[in-house]
Amino acid sequence: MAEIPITATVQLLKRTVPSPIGRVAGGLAVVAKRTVAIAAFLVLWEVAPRIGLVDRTFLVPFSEAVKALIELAEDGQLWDNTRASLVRSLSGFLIAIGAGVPLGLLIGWYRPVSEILGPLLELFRNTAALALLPVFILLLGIGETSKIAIVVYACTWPILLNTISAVRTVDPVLIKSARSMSLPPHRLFAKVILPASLPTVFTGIRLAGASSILVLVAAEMVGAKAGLGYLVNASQQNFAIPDMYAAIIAIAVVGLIFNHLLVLLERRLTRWRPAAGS
Amino acid sequence: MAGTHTAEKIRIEAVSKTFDVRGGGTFTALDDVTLDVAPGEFLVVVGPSGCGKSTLLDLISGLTKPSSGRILLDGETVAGPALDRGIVFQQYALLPWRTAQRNVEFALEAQPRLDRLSRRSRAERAREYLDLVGLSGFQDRFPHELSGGMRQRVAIARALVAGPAVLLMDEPFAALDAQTRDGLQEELLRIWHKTGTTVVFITHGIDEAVYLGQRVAVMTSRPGRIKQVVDVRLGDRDAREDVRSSSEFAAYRHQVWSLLREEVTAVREVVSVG
Repeated sequence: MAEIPITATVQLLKRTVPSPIGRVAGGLAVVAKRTVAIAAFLVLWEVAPRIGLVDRTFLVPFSEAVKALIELAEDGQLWDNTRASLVRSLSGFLIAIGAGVPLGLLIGWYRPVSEILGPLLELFRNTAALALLPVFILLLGIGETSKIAIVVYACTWPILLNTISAVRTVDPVLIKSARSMSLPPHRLFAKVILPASLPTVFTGIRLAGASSILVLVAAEMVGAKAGLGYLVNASQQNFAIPDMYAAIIAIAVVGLIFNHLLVLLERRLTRWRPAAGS
Repeated sequence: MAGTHTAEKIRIEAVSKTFDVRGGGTFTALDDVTLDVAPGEFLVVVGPSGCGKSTLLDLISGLTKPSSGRILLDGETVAGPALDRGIVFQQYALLPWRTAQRNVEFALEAQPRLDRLSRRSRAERAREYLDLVGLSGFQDRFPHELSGGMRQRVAIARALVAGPAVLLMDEPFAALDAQTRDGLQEELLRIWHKTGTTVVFITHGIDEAVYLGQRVAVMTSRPGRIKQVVDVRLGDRDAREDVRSSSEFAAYRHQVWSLLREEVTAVREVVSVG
């Protein structure tokens, strides 16, 4: 008699799984929906300079920017500058994860500490990292150190603050249930707090990933001899306008790929969650 | 520290529990509660919301300590939480990143290192208890892939898998729809017969209390006291068709209802006076 609810659920689950054909068609519809706005934007970019809506000298058509990008790729400039930027942003990003996650877990676990430090961390987070760039340059010089340091600074706050709130917002019932099994604190931490925090921690990591590139590009525009930000700035100063747009496209692509990789990693680590939208 | 009274499984002796209220003062959740639970008994505690039922369960589980009085388990004072008392919460409390089976195994992983089973025996035992609660074939589902009733079955399996002598249940079926609840009540009685575990079951549902309990302890609210313990003699629930519509059931139901009704009216009067 008690089996009735189970069979009912099984049938319900079966019914909501679409057929393979339906899935492919649905997938195509999703792809179309997601690319239509980008395609329209690129068409506008291509057409507007050509029909004289904007000055072609300052806004070259998309196809010319792509041509410049291919040329830059061929003579190796693109890779050299991208590599310089990636090394800086990835090292800053990884240092920030290495410092922010353990520190955040610690601060979040000790409630009084998080209550005392909270306002200060909030202040740091809301101080635009770039406003501090002159300070970093004064203290650390104009070389790699100051650039990596500013990336570390910009990435640390979202990771730290998200980790703290992740630990603090773990469902109290899960903690109560684990405590009722007399799980010792270190195992409670490893088996409950840590996995329960992971999704929110990852939100912070993704935010940090976006700002690592953002802040770095700006820093490279101020003082650098290589990097994508440098390439944008130098091209503009040399009036190589197609190159400038090529570098901007490269920055956008790097940012997209970086974010996409983080999303994939996040999905892998939190596979147990219900798929978004379902 | 030999128990004076070892015949009882659980002995709650003049237990009071007060909490400090924010902004000064104290709140008495439980006042001078005395209650014995015999080994293998199914005791239901029923009371209006906010009467301290859950506080009582927290005390038996050892998660909190009484302000005065004492709680004995097999004649020994309860010192803290342990796996000899399994708990089922209303909100399931399943780990969402673990499958049904891994959730059940969780209770076995919590055992002290020396008693801990090997990984393989843990998996086997978890599978056994999923079978017991009627979830064979669902071991690889994550909690979000299960219905509320099935989640609570997993939680029951987890509470029982370490072989506790006492099963504590805190309004476990309150969040479920009526049909699922009826089904699970039957299942619970079947599991109770099979395992012989002592059960303390908290609810605010009168039908549920009468259907499940061998004895039903009715609580007063603010402060929480035991008003009366009703012996329910309905015999084996499985032996007859539809116990819930029998006249004896109705009589017990009415008795508990009257006891509770006085409470609700009392609270209402206090509120209107104050």
